[in-house]
Amino acid sequence: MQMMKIETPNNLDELINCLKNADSSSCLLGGGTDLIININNKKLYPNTIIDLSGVNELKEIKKNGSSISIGAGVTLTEVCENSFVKEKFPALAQATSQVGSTQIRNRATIAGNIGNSSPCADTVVPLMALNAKLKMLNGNGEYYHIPVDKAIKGSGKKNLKPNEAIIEIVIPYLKDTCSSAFYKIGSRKAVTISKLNGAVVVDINLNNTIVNAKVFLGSLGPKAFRSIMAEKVLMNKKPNKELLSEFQNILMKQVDEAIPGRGSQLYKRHAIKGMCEELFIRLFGESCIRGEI
Amino acid sequence: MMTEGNYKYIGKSVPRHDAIEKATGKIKYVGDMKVNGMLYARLVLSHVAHGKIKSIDISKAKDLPGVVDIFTYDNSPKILYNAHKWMSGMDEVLDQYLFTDKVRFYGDRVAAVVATNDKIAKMAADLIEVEYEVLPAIIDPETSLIEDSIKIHERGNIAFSKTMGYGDVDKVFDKASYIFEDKIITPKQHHAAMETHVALAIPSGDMITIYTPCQVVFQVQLIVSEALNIPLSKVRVIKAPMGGSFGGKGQPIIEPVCAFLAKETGRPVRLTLDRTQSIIGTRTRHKTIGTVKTAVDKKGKILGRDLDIVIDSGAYHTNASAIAMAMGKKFFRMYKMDNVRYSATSVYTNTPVGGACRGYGSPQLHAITELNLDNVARGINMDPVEFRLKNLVHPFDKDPMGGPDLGNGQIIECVKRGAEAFGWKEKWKRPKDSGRYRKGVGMACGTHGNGYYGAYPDFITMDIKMNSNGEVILNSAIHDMGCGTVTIMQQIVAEVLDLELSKITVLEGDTLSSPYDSAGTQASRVTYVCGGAAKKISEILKDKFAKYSSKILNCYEEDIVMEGGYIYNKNKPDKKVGYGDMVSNIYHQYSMDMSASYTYSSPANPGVYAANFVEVEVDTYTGLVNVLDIVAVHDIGRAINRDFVYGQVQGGIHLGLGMAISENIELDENGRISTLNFSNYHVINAPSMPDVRIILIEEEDEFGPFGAKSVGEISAVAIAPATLNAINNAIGTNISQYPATPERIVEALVKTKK
Repeated sequence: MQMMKIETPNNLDELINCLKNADSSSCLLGGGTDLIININNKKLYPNTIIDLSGVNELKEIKKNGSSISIGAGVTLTEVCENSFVKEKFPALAQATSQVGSTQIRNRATIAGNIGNSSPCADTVVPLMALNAKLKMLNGNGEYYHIPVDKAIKGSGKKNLKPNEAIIEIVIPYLKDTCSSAFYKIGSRKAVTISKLNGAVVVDINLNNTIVNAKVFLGSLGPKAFRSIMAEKVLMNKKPNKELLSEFQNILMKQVDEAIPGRGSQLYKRHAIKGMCEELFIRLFGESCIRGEI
Repeated sequence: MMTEGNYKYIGKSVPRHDAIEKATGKIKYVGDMKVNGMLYARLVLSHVAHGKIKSIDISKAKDLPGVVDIFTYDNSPKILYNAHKWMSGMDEVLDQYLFTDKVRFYGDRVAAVVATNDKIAKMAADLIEVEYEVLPAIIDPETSLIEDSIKIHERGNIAFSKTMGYGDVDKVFDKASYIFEDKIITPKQHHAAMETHVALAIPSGDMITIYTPCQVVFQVQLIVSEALNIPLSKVRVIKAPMGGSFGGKGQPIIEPVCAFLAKETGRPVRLTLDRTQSIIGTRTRHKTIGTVKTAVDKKGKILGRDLDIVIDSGAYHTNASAIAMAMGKKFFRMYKMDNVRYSATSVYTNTPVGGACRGYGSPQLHAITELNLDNVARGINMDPVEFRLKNLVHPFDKDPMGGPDLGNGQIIECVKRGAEAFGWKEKWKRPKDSGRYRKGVGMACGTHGNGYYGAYPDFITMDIKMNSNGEVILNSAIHDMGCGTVTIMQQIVAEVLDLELSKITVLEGDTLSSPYDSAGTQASRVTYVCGGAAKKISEILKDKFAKYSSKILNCYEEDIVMEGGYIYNKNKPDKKVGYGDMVSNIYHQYSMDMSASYTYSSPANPGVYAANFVEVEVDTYTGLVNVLDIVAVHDIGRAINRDFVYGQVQGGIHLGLGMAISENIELDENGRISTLNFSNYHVINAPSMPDVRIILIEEEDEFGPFGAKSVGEISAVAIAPATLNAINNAIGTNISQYPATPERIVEALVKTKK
């Protein structure tokens, strides 16, 4: 039987030492909600597991001058219940609150969700829309930042080196005029894997006009991506029923372009209309689509 | 004393006998059992749907330290058997081996590894390399009907076929002014018991003792005896605590394998399946494809019905014939009709094997016929409730096919009471929603049976005794599936003997010590038949006790009163003797034991009925269905334990809702299964499960204990069609394939628009 080595660093310095020796068959253990299943299913057999749970520096949500940073050891439950996150980054709070079950959220981490690089990872979509960066640490003791997008290759493959670890997720504050929202569609109300997920960040001026928009979609290809065509539709418009309709149409087009001929195309191009409506309600309130604004 | 409807123990919601052990985690399921020297077994299942095994390389697995032995077709008995056979003398198609050399579905049994621990067994199982000569596979049952170049079994692809009916169906359909035809498909469904299949076999001398959460100990004994060619007396089967079955553990699937492994290794062996193996490698609810035609007149009277159903038996026969017959029988016992024909064909396919699944065909039959009835009602512009009320059977109607009498069947009352409680009239007439979310209502009726009377021998022997502490022991081969059977029996004995529950011990099945029972926990027979037996034998004991007590108390037998554990002469109520003291007196004065043995043969098999009403809200964008309200009305005869009945109804609804909107074992064209776990085989989970409003109609049955009838299976019968009727009503579609997944709903909506 092959031996498996478990490293249990207690602080960042020890983590650096572990990373120094890490190779392609090393794995970082966050909450383990994907890793352990993959090991049990024989999809992975790491020689070395570096367990991050002892590194206390990774367990904090910190407010900095211009950003918030979420440690790699912070659970999804802690993220979605954090009042500052809920207030400033509703898209992230909504996404983290809908991943898997309560038991999964009590263990799982955002860093793990990124590292697992699933095409339907719920937290990746809002992080991209929020322009989040990942604070990395490597075996040489170097700290640096990379965009979320760069960490993911797609289709379950990450784009990170064996000797580097995500230690924080850093999200810049939005202007006060901005708001964000996330929505997912799965097979049922709760405990479900996304068939579609999306996040939108908008900046609305005093005239109730959208002056900036970011739209990211997941579950429509190997990895989450930005829908520039959808952003264009939203720009310089007022949120109302007609705009929702345009938004729905453009995202249907986006589905057609993203997964042409796929068995799920018919369903997704239709269901995305529901996602659009929910995103609008979350961003602009129920009344905007009733034509009352 | 007992008077009708004024019972001391019957109808009361007492907790089940092992509630505390279960709630505190102290109960030992087979998966918790450990015995000295126990080995662990793991099955290797086929990963192709159809193929001949060219070679099995076990060398790597065998080299793994801790592996004790490996078994395949090469070193196991080549005795054909059919696990469906529950009684000697049943003539069944024998088509399965312990391990096969020709795999017939993705999940067929190829090998087993026995090792010193679970992990090694699993690791070794994964190291076994099987080389197949892959054969073309038949996945679609309708292909199996016509395809004869691919032979799944030598005997051909038709496993069973039968046509039955009465009247002149062809003539009616020639003349009728309205005929409505539908083709409806129901899915293969996994039982999804929390406890996966597990068994523990312990060899000792030439005897093998098997602990198993099973439904029929004598069936397990029979099948092990036949498959291993050892005498019945050398196989002892003990029913272990059950972590859920729903029919899935009805047939002995792993027990003969486990017994064989123990016999060969000479050591105790525990065999456990994981969830994936339980989904693919055990039994499923049969998939069916039904083409149903109904002829009606203008006023909504059904003139005739014709149902042609293809039943997907999967790769082996098991109960392919029994399920076809069971479905057919229900077809004639729901509506009054003069011309009816039922044709069923069970076919082999290269897919997971069909077996018993809560309702035993009734859920599929009603899923087909009750969906069609709503289309009839819609076609003649009638309220579906009014339409059904016009045609439903009445209490004490006869079975038109000559089967057992329907008895005091209260389906009309179920529909009336349910419609009122649900607010059917208002909701049915409500203007249709046109926005994104659309509400709709639907209802359906269902019927099921109460045992095997009229089809198979249906009897049970029970032994009862009262000891000198005044305690009673009831010994019989009952099996508590988690439904509360033990407590039900306690309540029945308690009521007859007027004795508190804590003084009544009810044993479960053990082939060595239990008297014989002909059919186990099948066919919704336990409360009706076994409960009937418990009542009868309690009465026999009571009479015997009264007879001897009257001699001791020097009075007439009629003057004897038994009350709360005390016996006395009603004319001398101050001279009460405890039951135990009296038993002791009888020992000394008459050299007589207060015990009895009786074989109770079921005298009847009435229909049991239910009507379900459902309100849904469909999201027309995402196709997701929100079930808002369910009213379930049950013709129960008499509830022995009210909370148990409610629990059964809620559980049945839960299973049926899954069939309606989310549960389906999915296969691709090569027979590979994609729904290997609960991550994508979706049972209804807590956030999606609505409250169920339950109404019981308690009109006593003549033969059931205290008037009781069955509820365990009927509760899963009407919900799927009621739900799909509600969905179709909400969005104006005619979805005719279960489950109505979001994808199917969206597809139907898109089609309807065009």
